[in-house]
Amino acid sequence: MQEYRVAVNMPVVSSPPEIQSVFWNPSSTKSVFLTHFSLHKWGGAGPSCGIVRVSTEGTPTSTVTPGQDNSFSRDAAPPSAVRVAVADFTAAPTEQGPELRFRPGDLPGSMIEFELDMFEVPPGTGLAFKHMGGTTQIMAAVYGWKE
Amino acid sequence: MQRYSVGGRMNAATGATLNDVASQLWNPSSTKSIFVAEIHFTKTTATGDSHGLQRSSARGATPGATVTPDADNAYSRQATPPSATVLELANFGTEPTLAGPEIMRTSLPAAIGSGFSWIFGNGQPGFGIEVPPGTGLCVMVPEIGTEVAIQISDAIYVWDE
Repeated sequence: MQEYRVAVNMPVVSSPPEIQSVFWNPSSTKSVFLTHFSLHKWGGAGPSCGIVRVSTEGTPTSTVTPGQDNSFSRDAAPPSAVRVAVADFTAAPTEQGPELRFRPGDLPGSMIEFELDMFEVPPGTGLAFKHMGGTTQIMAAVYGWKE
Repeated sequence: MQRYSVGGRMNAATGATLNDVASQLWNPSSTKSIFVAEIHFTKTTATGDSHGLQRSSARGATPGATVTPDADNAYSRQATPPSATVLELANFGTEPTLAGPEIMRTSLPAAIGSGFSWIFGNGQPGFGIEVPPGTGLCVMVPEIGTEVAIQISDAIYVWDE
């Protein structure tokens, strides 16, 4: 099992509550296992945030596709072809279940980091970062996983 | 496998330009991989900045400072790094060539002494980010809408080989 990480810039969303990025597993056969999620703020006042599973990717403004260079071993691109879709979404991803809620600090440079024990993202599903409300911010997200 | 660490201070801030490199751990070996377990940054000025982590496929040239680790940088103090790995610091005359999407990202507040610590593979020997021969690992200016310069900082890399 290989370990991967990818970082994305998340532009300001237009009308929160709104999903700001989706870690999407497009594979039809392979699960991926999230080991790390962190949120990094550039702006001041912190928004309320959430993480939620999604059953559709939605239609994003841009997509970051990790490759071989995102592998800790640099052996191969992710077999699942995982990608990160980034806001704004013209068609919102379909949310499943309640959000895991958290609130970062109001200081520029504040962050939240979750080290996860192999949180499974099944084929054809995703995990989304959601701007729940409050001041809109440019933020960055880092997703780490094994597959 | 031995563990090494090396530290140095940037000679100057980077430009406020996407992909400008603040620090690079470069593996010049033609045969040996190294495995980066930790990266630490602490800032010397009270100006906010953001940091990304990306691989490099070409070394660039004329860094502002270069630190060449020797046997004293080995945790065991037994040998100079076999890979001849070096730490290079901003500002670069010719920027390294970056490869692939960013691996990590963070932002720091406008406070002297603010910093970050990135730990890979739980810090276990050999489980970090592999840096193959003839490649590097760079802390660089990421996209945040309007990019900002990375301020003069102290950088520490920890790796196994």
